[in-house]
Amino acid sequence: MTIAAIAVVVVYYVVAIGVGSTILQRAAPEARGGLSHIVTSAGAGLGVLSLALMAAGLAGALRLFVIIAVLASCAVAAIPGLRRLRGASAEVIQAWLRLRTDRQALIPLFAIALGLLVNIPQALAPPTDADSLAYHFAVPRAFVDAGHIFDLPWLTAYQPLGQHMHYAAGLLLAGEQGPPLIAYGAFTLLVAAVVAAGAVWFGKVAGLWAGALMLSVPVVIGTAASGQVEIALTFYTVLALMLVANPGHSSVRELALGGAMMGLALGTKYYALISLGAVVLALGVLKAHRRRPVLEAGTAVAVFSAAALIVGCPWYLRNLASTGNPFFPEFNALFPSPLWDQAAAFTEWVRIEKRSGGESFLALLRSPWDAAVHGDLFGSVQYGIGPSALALIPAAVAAAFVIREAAPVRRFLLAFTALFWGVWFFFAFQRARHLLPVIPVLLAVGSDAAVRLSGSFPRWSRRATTAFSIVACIFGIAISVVFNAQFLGVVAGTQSRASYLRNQLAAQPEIEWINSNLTQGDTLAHFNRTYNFPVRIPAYHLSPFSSLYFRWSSLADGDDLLSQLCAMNVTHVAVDDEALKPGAEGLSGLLANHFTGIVRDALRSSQLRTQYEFKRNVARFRTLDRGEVAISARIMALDCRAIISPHPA
Amino acid sequence: MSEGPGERRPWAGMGLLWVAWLIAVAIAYFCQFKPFALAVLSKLTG
Repeated sequence: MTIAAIAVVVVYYVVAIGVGSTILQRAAPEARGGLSHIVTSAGAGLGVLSLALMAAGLAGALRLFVIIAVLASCAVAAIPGLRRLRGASAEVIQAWLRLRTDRQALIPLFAIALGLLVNIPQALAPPTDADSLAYHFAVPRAFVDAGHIFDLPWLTAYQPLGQHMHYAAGLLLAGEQGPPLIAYGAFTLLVAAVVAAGAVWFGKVAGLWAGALMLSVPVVIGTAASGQVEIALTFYTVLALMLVANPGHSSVRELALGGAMMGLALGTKYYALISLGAVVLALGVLKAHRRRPVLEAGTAVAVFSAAALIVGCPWYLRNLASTGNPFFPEFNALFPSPLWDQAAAFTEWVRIEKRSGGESFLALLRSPWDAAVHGDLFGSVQYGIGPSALALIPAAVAAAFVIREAAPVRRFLLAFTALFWGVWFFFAFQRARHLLPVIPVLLAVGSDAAVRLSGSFPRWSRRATTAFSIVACIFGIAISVVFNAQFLGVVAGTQSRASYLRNQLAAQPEIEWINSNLTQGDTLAHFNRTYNFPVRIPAYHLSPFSSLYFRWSSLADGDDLLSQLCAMNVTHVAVDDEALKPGAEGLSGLLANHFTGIVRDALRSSQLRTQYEFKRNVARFRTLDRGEVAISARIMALDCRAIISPHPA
Repeated sequence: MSEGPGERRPWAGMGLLWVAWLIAVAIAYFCQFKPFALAVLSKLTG
C-alpha cells in the first residue's frame, strides 16, 4: 500500500515536471542549466495542475476520474518536452559525476543526500501535526468528500489554497498517505531549487552549500511532510528570484516566467504579497547599473507584476466572491465581511500575538539574532530559522559593499531580504517560519560571501568557516534523526497505527470512540480543531474563532446553544479542556469569555447525557518531552425532544 | 594568496572577528537547545 502511494505521488510529480518542460520549451526556450530547467519545469507543471484542479473543484468535479483525466492529458502534453528533460537530466548526472574530485562540492552534496534520506519517515507516517489536522489536510478532505470546492464555513478555508489542491489530488490518488508524500515532494523540490538558484547566482559550490544548509533549518525539517505551505511558498519564491536575477540573461520572457512563479506563490499563501512587493522594489536595485535604469526597471516591474497578478488572482477572486474580501480575513477594515465577525477577532488576535518579538527599530535589528537563538519569541524553538542564516548575515552584508563580482544580483537579493524582513517584522504575524522565503536567499548570498571574503583571511579562519558549515549540516542531520525517530516504529511496522496515534494525539481515544461508535446517521458538534481531519462522521467544529455555523455573540445562554445544535440535527457533543479554558483558541476579551461561559452553561443541561468520559495525563509537546498536561474529555448524546423553539440561525 | 613574502598580509583581525562571531552563534544556538538536549539524554539513558 505504501509502495503504491509512493509510486502514485512520484508519477504525479513526474507528469508535472514533464508538462512544465513542454511549457518552458514553448513559452521560454532560453538556454538554462539542467537542474534549473527541471525545477522551473516542476514549478510550471505544478502550477498548471493546481489551477486545473481548482477549476475542476469549482465546477463540482473534484473526483478521482477527473484527476486521472487531468494527469493523462498532462502526460500527453508532456511528450514534446521530454527530449529537453532527458538532456537536462543527463546534464545534472554528468555535473554530479564531475564533482567527484571536488571536496568543496562533495561535502554539501553528501549532506543534501543524507538530509533528504533521513526525513523520509515523516512522509510515510500518518499525519499528526495540529495545523495539518485542523485545516491543511482537513479543508482538502472536506472538498474531496463533497466533490467540489464549496463555502466551507471555516476561517481557514479562505486562504489561497493552491498547495491544498495538490493535497486534494494526493487524497484522491493515494488516500491518507497522499498529502504527506505530496508535501515531501515539495520539500525535495525546494532543496533542488535552492541548489539551482544558488548556482545561477554565484556558482555550483555556493548553490550546493545553500541547499545543504537549508536542510539544517529546523522549520524546514519540522514541516518537510506536514501540510504547512511555507515549503511550497518558498519553492515558488526561489524560482521567481532565480529567473528574475539571472546574470546570464534577463529577457522579458524570463521576467514574465518569474512573475508567473510569484503568481503561484501568491496562490499558495498571502505572505507572497510581501515577496511580490519586495521584488518590485528591489528590481530598482537590480537595474540601477543599466544604461537606462528607470526604463528598464519600469518595464521589469510591469512585466513581472502583471504575470504575477494574472497567475495569482484566482484564489483572491474566489475569496472576493465568497466573503466580499479578496484577502479574507486580512485587511478586514478595508473589506469588511458582514457575515464573518471572526475576521475582526482574528485581526485582534494577530495584533496581540505579533508583539512577541517587539515593535521597535532596535528590536528589528535584534530580530535575526532572536529568530535564530530565541525561537520562543517567534513561535517556537522547533520552528526557528536555525544558526546558519544568522551566522552568514555579516558576510552577506559586507560582501554587498566590498565584492564587485555579481554585485547587482547580490544587492538585489539583499534588498529583497531586507524589505521582506522589515514588512514581516512590523506589519505581519511574527512567526519565524514565515521568514522561510528569505532563508535560502540569505544562505546562498552568505555562503558565497563567506568563501569570497575569507579569501583575504588567514587559513585558520577559512577552515573555521568550513568547519562551522559542516557542524551546521551535522546538527541538521542530528535534529532530523531525532525528529524522525518518532515515526520509525509505525513506518517499519514495529508499532501499530493505533498505538502510534495514541502516542501522538491527545484526542486520539475520543476520535477512535467517535469513529467506531457513531455512524453516518449521527452528527457531531465538537470544539477541538484536531478532530477535523480524523473524524469520519458528519461533524461541526464549533469555534467562535475559526468557524461560522452561527453567531456566538447572538447566543443568550447554554440552552440557546443546544437549541441551535438541535436545529442543525446534532446528535452528539464532544467537549474537552481546550474548549473550556478561558481564552480558548487564542481568543481574548469578550467573545472568548462569552464563548466559554455559554459552553459551560450548556454542559449543565439535563439534555446532555455522557456516553464516554476520558481523563489522563499526556505529553505536553509532540516531539520532545517537556512535561505532562492533564486532559479530560466527554462525549455526550444530545436529546432534542425537550427543545421547543430552536433559535433562528 | 597570503602566505608568500611581499604579498598582502592576511586580514587577521577580521578573520579573528569572523571566527569569534561563528563561535558566538554556535554557543548561543546550542544553549537554546539545552532543555531539549537534556530531555533527549535522559530519555536515552532511561
